[in-house]
Amino acid sequence: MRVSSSPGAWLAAWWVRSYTRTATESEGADRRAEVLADLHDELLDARNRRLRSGLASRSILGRALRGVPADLVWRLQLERQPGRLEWHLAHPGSLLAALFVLLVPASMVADAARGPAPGLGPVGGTLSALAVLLSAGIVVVAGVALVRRILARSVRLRWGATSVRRAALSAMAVLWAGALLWRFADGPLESLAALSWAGFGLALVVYVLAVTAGLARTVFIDIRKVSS
Amino acid sequence: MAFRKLGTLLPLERRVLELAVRHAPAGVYGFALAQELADQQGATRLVSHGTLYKALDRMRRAGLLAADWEDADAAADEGRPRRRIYVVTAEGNRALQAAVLGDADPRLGAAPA
Repeated sequence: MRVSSSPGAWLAAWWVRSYTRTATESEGADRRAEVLADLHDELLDARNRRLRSGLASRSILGRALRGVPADLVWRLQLERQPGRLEWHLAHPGSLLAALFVLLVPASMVADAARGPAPGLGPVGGTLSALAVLLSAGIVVVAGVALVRRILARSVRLRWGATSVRRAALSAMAVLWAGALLWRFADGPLESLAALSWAGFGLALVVYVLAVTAGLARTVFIDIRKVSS
Repeated sequence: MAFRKLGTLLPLERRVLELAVRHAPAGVYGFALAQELADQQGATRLVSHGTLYKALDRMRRAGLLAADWEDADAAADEGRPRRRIYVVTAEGNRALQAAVLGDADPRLGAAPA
């Protein structure tokens, strides 16, 4: 019984891998293995009861979606363990991605409140402040991580699709945050915002290409497995 | 998120302990728990992955349950991934008995006069 045979199970497996990938090693591996075994058991149970595959897929997807808040709380609780800040500064990709996921909607709603949707009023002000805080956080985390790597002489370039995708996502986060911060500046610094947006566009193109390459590789491997 | 007094069990934790006691000493795994929890309540939907495994993790850390991975070869023979088996501990038994006694003694739940 393969998890990839059901779209719901595939998405649930993707989600558990996403939120456990950078968790502490033993807890992350245990949660992944436990949920993957659960997905397998539910698919097998549906097959034994001769349920339609769509029903099992929907049930699994519903269980995964309803559990997202608990998953996020569990993941945040793991971050209280000692040494996590140090780990994130050594591997800043996931923290930058998490801050970026919060920053994008916050800054977009804040912008809408200033422009086409002024009725958002105080919400817009709060979100603007949040967006600036998140942007500053992204720039500080990326800056500290980069300086530490340079000082430790551990700057290495990797060219695999996954490494390029993660690097492009980190660059997108930093450039979006930079554009948001620089636009409040006057004079020559103001043009940095435009440069940041241009850089963001470039990073986005690289990200899409890396995702496409990763998907193509997965499909190619699946086809080879089936044909052999 | 549920808040509770220290030392008390959440409804889900209590139901999990009851099922773990019923399955002792062999223990019970995640999906079987989800199914039996749904059967108990006559629910059509299974408990979410996040809620179930977060509760199991919390109960394991609190010493109410012990968790162990089943033998890899046994799982491979059946062509499935390994399951994590949960067994109720002495502490879990005590917590469940305390909860049952709390239900039986109306003074524990009574408001002050």
